[in-house]
Amino acid sequence: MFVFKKEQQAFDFGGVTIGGQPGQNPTVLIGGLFFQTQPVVKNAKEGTFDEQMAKEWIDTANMMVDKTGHPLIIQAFGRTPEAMERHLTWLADNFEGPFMFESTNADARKRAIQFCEQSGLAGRAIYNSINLSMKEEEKTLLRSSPIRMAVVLGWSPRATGLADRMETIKAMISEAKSIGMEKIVVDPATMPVGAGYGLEYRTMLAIKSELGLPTCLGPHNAPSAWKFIKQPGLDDEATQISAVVASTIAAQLFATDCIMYGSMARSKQVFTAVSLIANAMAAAVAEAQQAIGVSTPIFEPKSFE
Amino acid sequence: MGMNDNRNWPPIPGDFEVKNPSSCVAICTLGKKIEVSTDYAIIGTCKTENIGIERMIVNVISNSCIRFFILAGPEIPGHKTGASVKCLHESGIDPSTRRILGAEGAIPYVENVPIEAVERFRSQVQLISMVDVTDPGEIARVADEVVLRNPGPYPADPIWVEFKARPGKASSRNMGAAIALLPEFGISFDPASSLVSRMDLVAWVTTHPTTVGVVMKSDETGTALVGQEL
Repeated sequence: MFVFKKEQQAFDFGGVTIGGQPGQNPTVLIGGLFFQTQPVVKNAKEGTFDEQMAKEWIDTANMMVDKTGHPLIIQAFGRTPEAMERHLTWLADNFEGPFMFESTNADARKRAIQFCEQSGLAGRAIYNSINLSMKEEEKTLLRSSPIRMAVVLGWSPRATGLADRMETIKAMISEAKSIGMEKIVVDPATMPVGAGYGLEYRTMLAIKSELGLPTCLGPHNAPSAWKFIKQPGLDDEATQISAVVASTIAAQLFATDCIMYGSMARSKQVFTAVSLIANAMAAAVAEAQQAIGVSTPIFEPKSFE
Repeated sequence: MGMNDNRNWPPIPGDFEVKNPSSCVAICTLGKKIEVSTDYAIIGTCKTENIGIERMIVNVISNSCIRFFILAGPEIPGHKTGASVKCLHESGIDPSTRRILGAEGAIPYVENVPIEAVERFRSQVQLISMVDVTDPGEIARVADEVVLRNPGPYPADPIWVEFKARPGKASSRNMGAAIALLPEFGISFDPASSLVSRMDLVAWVTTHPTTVGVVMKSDETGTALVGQEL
C-alpha cells in the first residue's frame, strides 16, 4: 500500500470520482462491451448484437456496483462507424453511468465524437485515448466537440526506460490540454508478457508520485495475449479469469485509480476480487495514516462481516 | 600519575593519536588531521558540536595529567565546533536543556555526559584558543610554551564516563530504512509509514549517542555513500 507525499488530484467523470490517494476513493472498474470476440456480438461490422445478453451483463455489473461500492464505467467498442453508433445509441438508453468508446477505426471514433455531441452525451463520455498516433483531423473534431474528458495514453515505441516513458506521458498530457481536455486519467499502456509487462505498474507509481494525476490501465491485455493460457488444458474460462483477475489486482495495489478488466462477462469475478483487496487496502492505509499522522478520507468497502 | 591504572586510556576510540599520556597537553585540530612534532598526551580531530565534543571531554577528564587544551585547526562550517568548545569552556551547558551556553552551531547539545563531567573539563584544563591556525610549527611552539607552566596533575581522581542510552528515546520508526522504489526519480518507499516520497536513501548505522547513517548521494559524476549525522 502506498501513501504518496505528492498531493493527489481526483476528478468527477460523469458522476464517478477517479483519483486520489490509494484507498481514498473506490477503485473504478471499466467493463468492455461489444468486443468482437464476445458472444453478445452478432455482426461486428453492422453492430448487431444480443440485446438481452448485453442487458443481463449490465444488470449483473450494476448489482456488483451496489454490493461492493466500486463504480462502473462501460467501454464500448465499435468496429465501424455504423456499429459504433448502434452500440452507443443502445448504451445511452440502457446504462446511466459514464462510458468510454474505443475503436481501431478512426472513422468509428469520429462518428462517436459527433454522436455524443448530437445526443447530448458529452457529460458522461470519456474519449479513449489521446495518444501519439492521433491524427490532426480527429484532434480538430474533438477540440470542437463538447467532450472534455479523456484517457491519455503515455506510450511511445521509443520510450523504453521509465524516464522516457514519463517524458512521453508529459508530452501527451500537454497535447490533451491543447485539445481542450479538462479532466484526464493517465494510462501508461499495458505491455505484452515478456515484452515489458510490469513496467506499466512501475510507471503508475511514477505518475502518482511525480504528477499526482488519476491513473488508468487495461492490464487484462497482458493475459489475453499470453500464450501460456492458450495451450490445451489451460484454455478454459476459469483459468482465463484467474489470470485477468490477477492482472487487475496487481494494478489495484499499484495505485491504479480505474482499471479496464476486459469483457463484462467477468464482472462478478472481478468486482469480487477487487472488493476483497479494497478491504485489505482500507485497513493498511488506515494504519499507515496513523503512523504518519494524517487523516485523508478512506473508502470503507463493505466487509460483509 | 593521575590515571586509573586498571583501565586503558583513552576510554573512547576515535580519530586521535596518543603520544605521552603523562604530558599536560592535549591538542584538538578540529576539522583536519595535523601532525605536530612536540610532546603531548593526545592529539586528534573533533568534527561535531555535540557527539564530537562529548567524546573529547570524556577522553580529557579521564586523564588528570592533562592541564592544557590547545584548540587549533580549521573551524567546521555549520557545526562551529571550535566556537562551541570555547563557549562550553567559558560558560558550560544549560543544566535543563543541555545546550552549550552561547554556542551558535547547528545542534550544540551535550546530552550523553553528566554536568559534572563538563564542569570537570572546565576546571581541569586551561583552553588555549588557536582556531583556524593550521601551521604545525606554530601549534608546536605554543605547546612547548605551555608545558613550562605545567601546574602538575589535577588534584582529583580522573573521571570515567560511560555512555548510556537514554531510556525511551529510541524510536522504532527510525529503524526502517527506505526502499528504493523509483531510483530514477529518487522516490523511496518507507515501510514503516507506507510513505512514497522523494528522499535520500538512508541506512541507519547507529542511533546512539546520536543518529548516524549512510546517505546515498548521486549526481552526474556518479553515486557516493556518505556517512553523516542525521
